[in-house]
Amino acid sequence: MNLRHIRLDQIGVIIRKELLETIRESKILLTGVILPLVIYPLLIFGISTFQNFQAEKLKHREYRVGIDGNREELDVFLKDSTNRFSFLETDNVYGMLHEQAADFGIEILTGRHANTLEFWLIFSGSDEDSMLGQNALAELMTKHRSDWIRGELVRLGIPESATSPVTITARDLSTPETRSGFSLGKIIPFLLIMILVGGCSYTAIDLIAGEKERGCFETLLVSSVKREEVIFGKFSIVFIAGIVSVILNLFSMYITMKLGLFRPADTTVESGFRIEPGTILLVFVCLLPIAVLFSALLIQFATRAKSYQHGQIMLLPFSLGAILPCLVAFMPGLHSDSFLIAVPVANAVIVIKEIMEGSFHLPAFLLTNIANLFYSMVFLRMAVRALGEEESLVRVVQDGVSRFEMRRDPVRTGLIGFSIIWLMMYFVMAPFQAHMPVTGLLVTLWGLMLFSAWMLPRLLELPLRPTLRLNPPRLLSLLALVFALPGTMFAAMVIIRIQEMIMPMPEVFSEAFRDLLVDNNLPLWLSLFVFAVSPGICEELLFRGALMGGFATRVSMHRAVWLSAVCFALMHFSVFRLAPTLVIGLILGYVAMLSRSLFPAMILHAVYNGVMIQSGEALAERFSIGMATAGAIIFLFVSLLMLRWDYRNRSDRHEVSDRVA
Amino acid sequence: MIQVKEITKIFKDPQRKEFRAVDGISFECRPGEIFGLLGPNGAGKTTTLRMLSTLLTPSSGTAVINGFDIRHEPDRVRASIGFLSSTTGLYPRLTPREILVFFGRLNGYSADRARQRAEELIDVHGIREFAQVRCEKLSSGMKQKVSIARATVTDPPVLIFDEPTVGLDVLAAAQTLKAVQDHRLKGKCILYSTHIMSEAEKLCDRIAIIHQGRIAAIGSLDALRNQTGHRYLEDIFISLIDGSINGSPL
Repeated sequence: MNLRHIRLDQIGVIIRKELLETIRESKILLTGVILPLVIYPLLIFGISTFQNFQAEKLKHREYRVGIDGNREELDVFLKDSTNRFSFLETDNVYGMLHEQAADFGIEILTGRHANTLEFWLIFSGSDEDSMLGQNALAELMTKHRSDWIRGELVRLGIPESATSPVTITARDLSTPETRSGFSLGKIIPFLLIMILVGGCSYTAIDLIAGEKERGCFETLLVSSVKREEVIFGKFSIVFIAGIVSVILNLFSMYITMKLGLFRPADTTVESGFRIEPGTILLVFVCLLPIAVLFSALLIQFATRAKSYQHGQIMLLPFSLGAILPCLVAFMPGLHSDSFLIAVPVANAVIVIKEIMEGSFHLPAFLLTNIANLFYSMVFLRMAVRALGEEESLVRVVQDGVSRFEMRRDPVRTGLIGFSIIWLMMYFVMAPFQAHMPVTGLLVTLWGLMLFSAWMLPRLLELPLRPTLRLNPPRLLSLLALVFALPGTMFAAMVIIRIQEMIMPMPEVFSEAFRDLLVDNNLPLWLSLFVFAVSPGICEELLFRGALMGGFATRVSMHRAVWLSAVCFALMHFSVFRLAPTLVIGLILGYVAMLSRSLFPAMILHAVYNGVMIQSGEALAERFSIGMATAGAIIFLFVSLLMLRWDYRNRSDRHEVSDRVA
Repeated sequence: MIQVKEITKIFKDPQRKEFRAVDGISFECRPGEIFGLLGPNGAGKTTTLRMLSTLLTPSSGTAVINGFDIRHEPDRVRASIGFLSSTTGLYPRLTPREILVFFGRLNGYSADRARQRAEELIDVHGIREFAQVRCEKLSSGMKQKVSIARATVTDPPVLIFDEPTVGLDVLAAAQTLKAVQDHRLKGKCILYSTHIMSEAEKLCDRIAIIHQGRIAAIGSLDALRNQTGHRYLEDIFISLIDGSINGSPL
């Protein structure tokens, strides 16, 4: 990308044209302008009014109550409040509820204890009417019980304080504004991010995928305008569309709050909540880098889409991906001083939530926006690169099917295959392993993984042996393992220590892990076979063999290693093991790639697992983080040098190709 | 004006290893000449035109257009050509006038000059009647008139037409062919891709018959008649394609 030769006037011409087209598109107007403006009025006059109406209706709802016992005993507690309940006398409350002849029932038990009465409220927890009815009755009875006790105490001449010698009073220092901010802070970031996604997404799809379908994109690219100018012009409009949506949304929120009309369903929120213009401005600033990030990502999606419809299909995972980080707003105990500061979108959601709650932290605010700006620049660069891909440019619908679609892409097929394996692991193998840990693990490794390692190359029509790198290892590659093993162990120690500082593994997880791997009462040979040798063989055949071998036929060596390492990390189903397994996956990937054989990676994996299971904790205690870091760097560097030397100087380098195809 | 030298385009494909969409094509097209690229669907015509318009980069070989190399001076090449395909490439929510002004501005005209040029083209191509109507409401013939006007906004010396009459009715197709002939009279160098024999027969000064990414024969209609012994272009075409399928030298 050469930014020096970009002509701003040309970008301006494109922006003006795109703007004109965009404002003439009804779908974009609907999602980008109308929805952001009407969402709060809708909440007020729509949902909250309806909920208030429902609540009012419920207050006067009459419930049918089956009663078993002396009705007069109950009247003492209900006095004249019985008009909401119609009592149906019965000697079988349970049968009555079962036949749905009553919403709930009461059994009155007398004489079990001296001078006491006992009421049993019988209801169904899965029936809303039953729940609400028994709640309403219990509330009434509790109130009248207090009055009755007070009356009895007066009658007996006992002071009221005798029943409550200790008084506990909670004093809430929050104001109505901060309480409202606390409640709204959860939902507003979510709404804002969704409004931003809506504003950006349809514009991006229409401006690129839509133009491809209409044949206009090619016309634009063969004019004398530069591709960078096209991408910046289109990017600007997507960004503007997103920001306009957000501004309209914030404006709508401000007006709604200023008028004091907000009546949210959440009863803890004060209706007279006000929002300050300064708060609106800070929230807006947090959303700016997110808008750049989303616009750049959507431009990439749209560039790779073949048609408008294809682009819309691609939007679904994007929207789901955008929702996920928003959920942190609903999680208790998460603040901007945690690791979340490095997670794009999630960091902004947390900071916006804190701003809404009235707790603004300048360092977190700055760090969040700097981090998001950095991510957005990376994505923007990737978007420009995507427009340079010839396949993306000519990827258009031809007679219903594009020529490129007809070919089986090894990366796409590999990732789809991995997703299927992952789902099978999650829904079938994980419950199996939870029930029968050792058998389940062996079936997973020798059944599912081995079958997948055999099946994937067949699906891709690739030769099995070279794809899986089942070549005999060379002596130097094996010697390199002498250094790679301690290097891998030290690297894992460092990553685990860093992770413990940021996001420590809960004790319950580490104990379960220790129970499975160490305190399992298995003979040593069986333990090593199950947890070291079997993963060493089966996981390597799948991840460094079938998946990495398949990826390497289409993408570069480094990308293939990284992709397979990410798959390897995700397969371990634990956010706490994600970073260590990713690093180990990378090391194993480079060992397999540079040695041109899967066997050194298998040996390294098996020995690493064996040593860590048997004496991992003892080793970790022996080395400080500084020593471990130095050890990781030195040992991995030496092994890398040996592997590279072997890779470059082998005589059969042309026979055993990196790329199978 | 157009000199194509051994141009090749290979698409990478893991299953077929590599797919040669265009395989070492060479030809020349001079000013005031309509040069036809005739071939069946999938012969490599569109890929060739996409390389000449710098949309795709050749795997090997190159071409020089209006004195500029497509590999080294793509911006200047694009400034020298007007490109038109069968999809018309018009923005449905813009009017013909807005489109002409937009492409004038993209090619470096000032706002006034772009508007002035748009009005000239509106008169020349007879589109004043619907110049203020959004393109989505125009008939295919009207759209093609606007497309031709759009391709000639900057009055480029080279015009590239990629199957411009596909999907048009007889009248609209005839108007398009007339417009192409008018541009030849103005001395433009025109590269015209089609799979319709009658069009090539009527329009082209010289023809390259392209099949499976290679040129099967090249020359004027008379030269092709002499070469194959057939009178009609359809027979010439079939005999050449049959020859290449049966293994005869191309």
